[in-house]
Amino acid sequence: MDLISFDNLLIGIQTAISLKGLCMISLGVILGILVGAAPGMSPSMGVALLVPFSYGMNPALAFIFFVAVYQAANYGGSITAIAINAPGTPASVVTAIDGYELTKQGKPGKALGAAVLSSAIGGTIGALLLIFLSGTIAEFGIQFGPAEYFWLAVFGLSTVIAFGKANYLTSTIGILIGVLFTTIGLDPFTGEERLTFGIIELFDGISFIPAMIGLFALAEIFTQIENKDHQKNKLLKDFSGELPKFSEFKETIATLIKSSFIGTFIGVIPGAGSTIASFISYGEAKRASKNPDELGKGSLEGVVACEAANSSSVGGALVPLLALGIPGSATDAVLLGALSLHGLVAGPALFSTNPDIVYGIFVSVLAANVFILAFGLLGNKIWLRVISTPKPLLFTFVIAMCILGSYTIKNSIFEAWVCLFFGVAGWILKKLSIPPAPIVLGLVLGAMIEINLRRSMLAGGVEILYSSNLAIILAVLSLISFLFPFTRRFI
Amino acid sequence: MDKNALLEILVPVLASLGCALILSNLLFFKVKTLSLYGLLAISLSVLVLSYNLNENFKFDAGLFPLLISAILTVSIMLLITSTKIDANDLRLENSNSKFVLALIGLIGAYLFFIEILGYYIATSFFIFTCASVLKYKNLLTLTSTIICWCLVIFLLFEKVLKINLSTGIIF
Repeated sequence: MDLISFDNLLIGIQTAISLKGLCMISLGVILGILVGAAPGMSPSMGVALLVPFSYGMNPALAFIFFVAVYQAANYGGSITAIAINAPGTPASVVTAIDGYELTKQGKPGKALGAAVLSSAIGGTIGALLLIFLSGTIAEFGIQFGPAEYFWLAVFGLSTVIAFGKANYLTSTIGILIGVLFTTIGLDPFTGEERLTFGIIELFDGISFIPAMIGLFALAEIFTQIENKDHQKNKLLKDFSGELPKFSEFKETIATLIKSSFIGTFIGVIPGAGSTIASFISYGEAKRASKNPDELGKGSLEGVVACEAANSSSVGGALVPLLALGIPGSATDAVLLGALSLHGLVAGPALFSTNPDIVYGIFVSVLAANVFILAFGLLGNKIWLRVISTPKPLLFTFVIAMCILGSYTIKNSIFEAWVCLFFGVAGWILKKLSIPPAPIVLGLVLGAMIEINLRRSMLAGGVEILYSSNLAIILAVLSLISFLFPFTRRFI
Repeated sequence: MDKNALLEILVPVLASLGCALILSNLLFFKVKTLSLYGLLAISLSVLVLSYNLNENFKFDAGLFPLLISAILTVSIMLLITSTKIDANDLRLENSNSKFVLALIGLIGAYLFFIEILGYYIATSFFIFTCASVLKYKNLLTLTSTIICWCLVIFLLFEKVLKINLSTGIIF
């Protein structure tokens, strides 16, 4: 079966480059930039909040929209990082190092211009690699049986422990909590009730979307209110500035291309994400720079390295999601939940059953970069004005949106309670240094682990798990990944 | 007392103990390990529950939750040990928990009243109260934003997406 074909690409172009498709992409980019730029809101939080609004939409258009939000939110974080030293997303923390220095030197236009150009070019490189890699990996994924899928899910979770931002023990606990929540409901094989306490609404299990909204959005709001962040509003100064000259930008091209490749390949690793991509690219740019001392003191090269890696990681992170059904980042986990909301399952089969969605996503990632370039170059001042909304008002409406979004999933108040429960649990666990991303990945991959483990057992016992070379390779990779936190100090 | 009855009592006792430890810690003690002990108690209650499930089920439906809750319990024990060793990690970083707990109570009340007052009235009250609690003082902006919010939600959900939001039981 040929998963990547010109005909399918045409279907994707027809879906994404239609009037409705372009409207969804431009709306997604505008909302994404706002979500990314608003300090305290992350891409995963933005997409999670918008998923319930797609309920009645055509799934292809819905995913075109989500991907545009995702791509633009990763860029949006750089605007406030550069302008007011308040990174909108964790990945743009590195952008602030050189970006804000340039603003202090009176050159914010150069920094913002370099950020949007490198985001658009990096994002485009990431999208092209996504098209090339996901089809190839999906063709490979067709050979997977229950044992391979079991090990693949274990590998996905183990990389979160190995490369995640949190301590390995807290990451492990987060994953286990997430996996444990997937066991709630009727047993998929025998139909027996498990951990439902007789609550009928729990028979189908925990709904992903309210849980994710709670963990990513409500928990974050609670943490920020606790830190009294809602009382801190940075004042924005009016500024104008010239864009970087072509000769200045030309000097950073090598860094841009290298960082885009680094970003894409780090994005492919589940759990690594855009923040790690930005840090590694910045480190590599500094190592390879002709003027390493300039980085950190207001260098365009520093801004370009972070932003290119940050944006290209979106394409990379979508590769395992589309090809194998394994989320590459927290936002991808939300997208996986959104797919299930629309009755779809990510993986190789999606390429042939729903080419309009898969190829629509490909084209949307590419097109979103063009819109980011246009809106970024023209609208920086507008974004800065809009995001200066007072935080008490912003937080209140985000909470109202969390409740509304959860409620409308099944038109049931129970789902809103689920959202509140996960918001409170996420807030308490964050205080114990257990971040929400491993919990969400556990929630997403838990069922995949259990179902494939039990299928393998039914098919022939434990030895089935080691019956193919591919399963053995994935098992060894998982083991290496699990042991990585212990061994990296010796490397 | 037979084993099943004992296990059935143990589950709510452990879960309540865990919740009480976490809540009292948030309100008064603010020591990280105490919340971890609370988490451990909840994890133990799930472990007991999974064990009970596994005993009663004919097939292996209870085995996976039992395995996961057992590993989780051990991991939390390890985390407690490592947190105790790291003396700097003992105190919880923030002390504004009471304010957040009050806000959670407010959201809980909002969810309770949605089905009684209907979505639009309950939401208007909630947004007004929540913004005031968070010290937003511009009443004119707040009122106009609430009206805009309700209008946009009505048009989007009732007219475009054809999803009827709760109208309440009073009106």
